[in-house]
Amino acid sequence: MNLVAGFFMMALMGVTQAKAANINVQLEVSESDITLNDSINVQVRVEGTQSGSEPTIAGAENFDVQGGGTSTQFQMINGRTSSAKTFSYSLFPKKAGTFIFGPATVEVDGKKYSSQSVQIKVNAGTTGTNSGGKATVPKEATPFYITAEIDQKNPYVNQQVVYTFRFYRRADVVNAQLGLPDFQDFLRQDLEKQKQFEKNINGVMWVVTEIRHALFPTHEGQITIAPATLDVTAVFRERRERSFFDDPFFWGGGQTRQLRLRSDPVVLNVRPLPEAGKDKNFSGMVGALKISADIGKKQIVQGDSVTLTITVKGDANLEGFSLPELSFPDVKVYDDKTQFNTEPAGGRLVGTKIFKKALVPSVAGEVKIPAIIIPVFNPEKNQYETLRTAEMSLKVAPGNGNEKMTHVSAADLEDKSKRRIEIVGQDIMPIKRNLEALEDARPPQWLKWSLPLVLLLMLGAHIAAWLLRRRARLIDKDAGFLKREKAFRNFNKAMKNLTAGDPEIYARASNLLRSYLGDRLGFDGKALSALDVERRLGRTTVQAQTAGMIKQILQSCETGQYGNVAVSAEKSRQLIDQVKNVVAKVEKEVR
Amino acid sequence: MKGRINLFICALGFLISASTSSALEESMNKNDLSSLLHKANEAFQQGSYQEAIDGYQTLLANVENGELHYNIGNAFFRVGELGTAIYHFRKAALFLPRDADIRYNLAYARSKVTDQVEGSANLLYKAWSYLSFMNLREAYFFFIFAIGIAGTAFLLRKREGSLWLRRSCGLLFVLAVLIFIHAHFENAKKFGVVNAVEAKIYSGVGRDNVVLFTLHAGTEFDINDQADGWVQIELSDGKKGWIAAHDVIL
Repeated sequence: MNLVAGFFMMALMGVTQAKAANINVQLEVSESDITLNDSINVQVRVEGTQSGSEPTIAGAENFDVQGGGTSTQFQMINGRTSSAKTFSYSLFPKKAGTFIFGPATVEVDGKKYSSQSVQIKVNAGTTGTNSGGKATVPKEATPFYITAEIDQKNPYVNQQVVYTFRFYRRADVVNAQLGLPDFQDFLRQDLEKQKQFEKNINGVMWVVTEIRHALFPTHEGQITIAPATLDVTAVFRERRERSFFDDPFFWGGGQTRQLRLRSDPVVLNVRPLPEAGKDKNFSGMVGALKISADIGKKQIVQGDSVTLTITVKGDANLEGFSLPELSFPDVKVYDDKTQFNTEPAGGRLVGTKIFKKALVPSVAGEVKIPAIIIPVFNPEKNQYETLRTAEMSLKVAPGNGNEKMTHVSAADLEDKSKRRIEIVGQDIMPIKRNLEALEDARPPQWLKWSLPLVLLLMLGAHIAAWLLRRRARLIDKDAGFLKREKAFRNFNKAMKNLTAGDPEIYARASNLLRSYLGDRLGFDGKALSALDVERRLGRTTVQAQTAGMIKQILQSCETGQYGNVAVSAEKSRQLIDQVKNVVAKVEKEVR
Repeated sequence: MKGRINLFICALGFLISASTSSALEESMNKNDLSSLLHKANEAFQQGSYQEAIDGYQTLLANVENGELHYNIGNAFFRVGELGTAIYHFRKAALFLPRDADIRYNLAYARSKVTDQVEGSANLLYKAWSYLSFMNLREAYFFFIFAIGIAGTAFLLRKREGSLWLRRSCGLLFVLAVLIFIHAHFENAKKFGVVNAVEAKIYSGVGRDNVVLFTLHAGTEFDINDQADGWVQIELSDGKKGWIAAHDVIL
């Protein structure tokens, strides 16, 4: 009884041994003395378990914390197990000063475990220094910086301003993530594609990456554009004696550091549009603009249509602009396609919007298309001005009485200007919920075994086919082949019908033996005498003794056949045995 | 005699306690698996990714297939373990090579990897990679089928009939051989993925060797050797070195 209890206790110990482990939390930082542009890699390592809640870390409010992921480790070496879970972060300082970071607290199975804390000093400068003899940023100048600027600090509402972001570097980076401001006080359009060039600044060559946007402020007042940020993983070569492994093939033993670069904020004072001189039909457009119009054909027949094309071009925000309602006397106006595109020109974004209208005159004669007037504001001249097309005229010849109406479908009235689909986010595909997840997809053992079996089967089939073809060739070549092959089988079959006491035993035994010899050795055994048979056998591989025995048997059969000798059961059995024995000898001796 | 029995019972108890300490699951029946799959999927949907991971790992100890590797890859991706996610997506792709979701997730996870490693631009290598449209099980069946077809065509080669049909069977057999070899090779290949945020690669076993280069989470490699808790890795551009085993998933 005591022993059984002891047994269960041991089993239980094993279970609890699996659960109860020493849990230890360690807080490690890669650096403790940095600048505002630097970042720190932090690891919270929880030893003794693979579970554990996300740590809370005291003092994290002084930093921007970015999660770097978690990893778990499990090892079994010589029966001893160890496990750990590591949480990784990157810290970006918010301000200069000396801060206490930690302790990190983790909850495991309802209990809390804490690490030690560390002191971190954040310097206000832009060069970084490290402790511990690691790679040092060059002290003469920072190798990276970013700028953000605006070409117009005092624009009008809806006047285009160009925002230029530049990243200057003279060292390698392996990764860069840009964080532009959200421009919530503007309508934004991309000005041109990101470009890269080299620039010499005070004798030093820099690689510059430039991104530009066209912005249109949506309201008056002071607007502050937040700083742009750039998180880079910079590569620093270690300063040490060159070794074989400094060869570029081995990537020179460089180290990487995470940096967060920040530009200065940009402040604009957006002016309201003046009230003086504002037309009651003011279009809302602000910029340097031109307008033109064309009707293509100058003469048509009544009932036909012409297309009026109005082109507005300039650096204003044309995307949302629509023409006022057009109405011409004696002309029906139908909306047609509108096109809009933009292109960089002279460092600014220039838009072109083309409006098309179908005009169908309802009377013959000369039809006037009056000028189209669009009031705009020109910020360069600080005044309102009017865009005006030239007046046009159209000669309409009388029709055949039936006004041909060009049917304009509803589809034609739609604005068909397409917009490129902009991808705003990406994510992984969802999990699979089908029941195939319960099936083992590994090849089963029987499948692995069936492969060599099928191969063997095929090989066997090929060997059998080859043997059959060989036999068929032999049969084709040698007419007596089959006879020779079947001679012994036929003899045995016929022998079964030979019984002791058969009155015809001598004749039948003789015929049987002669037939066998004839088939087996290729001559007509029935037509020869016993002596001739012996002579013929002498030309084969049959031994003389065997040939002699055959002659004796045949002669005794002849005697029995023609000599009116009585057949006794004993004698016929002896005869049968002799015939069998001699045939067996022939089978052995014939090659 | 009684003493010997008592000793046996003690030894048995010790063995059971020792074996319970290691993380082993007993074989589960189909109903248990179905219930566990459902729980793991629900945990994932509700955002309890660690619970989902535990469930999928238990299932993988009993059955192995592309769907489970894919789901656990998704769960690891969600908790930020990029390296482990890529590892499982690659395993899923071995079982379901034509699955568009797996290809997409693997490509997306790879796009998050910091390190840029140049792959082989060799034409032969590219052509070889096009053979990966069957998994190992399908390759077995296809190979056996091709052996039967080609073998029969070869047997009947002396008979009157379409020469092109027999030649096609021969080509089919050659294709089946290549696909089978490819599937076998890919399944047997030892690969791993870095799952530490940053890991140093050394010239030899141990941290007192020269640091050759640094890799980050998600970088994939082939395994050349393992010793004393270290792994000798080789990248697709030929770079080699030793990395600590706890920084990778194999």
